[in-house]
Amino acid sequence: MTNQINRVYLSEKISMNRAEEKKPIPTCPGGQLTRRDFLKGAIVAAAAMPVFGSEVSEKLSSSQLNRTLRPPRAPVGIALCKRYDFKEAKKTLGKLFDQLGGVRKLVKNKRVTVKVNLVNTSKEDLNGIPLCLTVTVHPVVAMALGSLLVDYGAKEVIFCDQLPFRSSDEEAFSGYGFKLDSFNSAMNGKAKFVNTRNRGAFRDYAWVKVPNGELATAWEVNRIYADTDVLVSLAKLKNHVSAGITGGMKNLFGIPPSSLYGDDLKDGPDENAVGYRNQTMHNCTRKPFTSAESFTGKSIQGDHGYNVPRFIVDLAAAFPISLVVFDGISVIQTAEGWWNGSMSSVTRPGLLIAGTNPVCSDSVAAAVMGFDPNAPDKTLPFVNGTNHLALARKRGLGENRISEIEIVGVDLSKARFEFQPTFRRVAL
Amino acid sequence: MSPAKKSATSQLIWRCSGADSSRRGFFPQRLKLKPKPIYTLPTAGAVQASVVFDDQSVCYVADMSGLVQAFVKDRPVWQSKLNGSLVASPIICGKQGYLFAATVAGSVYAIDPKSGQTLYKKNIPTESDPRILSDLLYVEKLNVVVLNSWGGKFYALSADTLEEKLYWDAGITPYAGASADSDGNIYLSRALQGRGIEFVKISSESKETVLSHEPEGRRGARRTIVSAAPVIDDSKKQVYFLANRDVGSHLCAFSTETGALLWRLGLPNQVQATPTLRPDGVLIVSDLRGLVLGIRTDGSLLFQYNTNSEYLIGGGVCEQGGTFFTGDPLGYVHQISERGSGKVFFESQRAILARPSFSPEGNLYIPSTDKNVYVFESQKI
Repeated sequence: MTNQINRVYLSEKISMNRAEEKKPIPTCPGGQLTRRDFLKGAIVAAAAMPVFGSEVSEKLSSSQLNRTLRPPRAPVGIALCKRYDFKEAKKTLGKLFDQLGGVRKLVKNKRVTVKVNLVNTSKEDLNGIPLCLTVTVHPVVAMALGSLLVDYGAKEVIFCDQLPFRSSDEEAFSGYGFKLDSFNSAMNGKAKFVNTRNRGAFRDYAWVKVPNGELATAWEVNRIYADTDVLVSLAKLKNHVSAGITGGMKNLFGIPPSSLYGDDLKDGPDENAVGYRNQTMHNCTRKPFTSAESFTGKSIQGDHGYNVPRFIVDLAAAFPISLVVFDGISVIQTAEGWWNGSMSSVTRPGLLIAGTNPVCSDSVAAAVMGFDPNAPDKTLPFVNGTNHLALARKRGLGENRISEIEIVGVDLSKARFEFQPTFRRVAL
Repeated sequence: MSPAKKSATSQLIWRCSGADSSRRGFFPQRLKLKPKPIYTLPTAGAVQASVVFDDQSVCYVADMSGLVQAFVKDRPVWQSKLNGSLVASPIICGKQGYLFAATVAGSVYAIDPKSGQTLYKKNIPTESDPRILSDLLYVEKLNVVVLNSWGGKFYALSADTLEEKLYWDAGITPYAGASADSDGNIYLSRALQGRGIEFVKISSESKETVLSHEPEGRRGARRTIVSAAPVIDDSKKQVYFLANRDVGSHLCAFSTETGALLWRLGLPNQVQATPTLRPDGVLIVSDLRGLVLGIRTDGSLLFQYNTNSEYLIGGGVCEQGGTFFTGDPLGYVHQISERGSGKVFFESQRAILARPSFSPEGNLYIPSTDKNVYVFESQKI
């Protein structure tokens, strides 16, 4: 069984938003998607955004209504883990997975793609402290996870992120402390690193449809995210200025490739691009150079707090995450990256968190950080915009109300480790 | 009581983080600690602020859940919930002896230390970031509580009413607490966009003098953490100031009398923790690569001790014999001798991020993020 609910492939050339060029036509696994179908889908999805929660519409189908009232939920596990020691991290994660149940079955004989939360450089630090102790997932946690998945019978474990380097994938990852030799020695040679900043080794991109997309109706991405059996999101526990917190869902922001969505693109796609996605997915000052129109135009120019949470949910809806793991051992607080300067600082929750529903997992993570995952928009921790966890629940992706989520392992009151809050953006 | 005796007695009572307004973290008696805690004080949140005491040996614990508690030994006396997490260490001070606490929500509270009742509350103005992270300071000569806010200013507030008395520019990364010498001069550091790091003296007449200016690094002042408070040696009339750079940091010694730079030492790593000053004048610096450095009065290196932790945040304290105590993010408490040899003598379940304190009896209080304060009994030797 593959994780391909929303998968749409490109298979033949058509002319899309770049008039002179012949572009491949999107197709889906069950049959070819015509250009007309594709555009129609995009328009319908954009126009028919469901209204959930307190604004439940009578027009909702009974299945939609049921989903709204009872969003999917799954237990979330919390464990204490003080240090980046491979054996300790692996043992702790293994115990967490046993408490969650079902992880062995999930990955046995499967090809597993692990989206790792790395960032747009490996050459920075936070006040002299390496990124892996603050901003990015520590390689020890990634290796411990990979080793466990291989022990559980995974055929192959592919670690992915979009990294701003044109060097080989192995070299690009090594800057973040991810050494392929070490990973393969811990994972019986079943580890692979893939930099998804462009289409990579594939001949073309995959289109992945967004059910009920609000700002995006589909994503054009490296095929590695589509041609997989299981998608794991390996996140860092940290605040986020625009999104309140990062997490398993926010981690997916790294999927849309620089080659189509990057800031360093001039007037079309470029396989050499390495830029971030500020213009397309934060500020929304321009659309991406995808082979078909896939943004609805409902973003608000310059309003990160509106755009980022909605794109997060549009990504989470398109790429169903089967397992979220948080590296919460040593992390940054107040903001998400070194670029926020000394506003942020290092802190040490000493935790690993895991769950099979990304909304539940991210909500428990928010609660561990001392925040209410169901807090109203524009209040802590979502001071700069929309609560994407509540938005995800309203889109039927999972439960964000902490009282409705089962927690296994260390109980929440013991695990709670309050983060310093993020700051309110001030209009200049 | 003679002034000398009064001073000696007052050094035993750690009313703020780092013992007193000098921030030197020194307890003026020889102590030998028993290796196991005699008791723990349970808290509701991770403890990231130092424990403080009054002259009745009541201890006050502020935690990240926003709870402030008073204990007599291990007996809870009262607790009071404030409007945000407490990172800044509170202070007991003023003619009234109030307890002052400041939250990440930007509020300062004056609390009755007997009952826990809030007497006054003041919100520090900010457009963007309300956090108050700096350990609070009391300046007796002015009867003011000094704090630093992400609103961008140091404030001096009346210790009677919290009324604003004075303020100074705190720059763009206002983590650092201020310190004061026995004449009532205040010392502070700040990062200024386009200018770098300044070390400033505010006289008791409120005259501001920039003692040192460290040029802005390649990364700019907004990437430079300004967190360690200045440390004052009143007996030698010296003040120590730490300035972080893009790589490493500078430790500088100044005369408090003339303001002259006495020496400057380049350190290999950046520093977040306020240093500790031993009675022999050796300054102990805990850095962001897990090293504890002992630095002699002339600026030369006496010892280097590796905690094997990736970084150190909270700093430490020492007793009369020169033994230094500090906790690390792995939860270990290190005991480092006068000559720099060390050992781990306790392990907490989670990270230790705050500076320890001594009670007036010489017991060591180690705040932990595992929601406990561990208390180690001492024998006076």
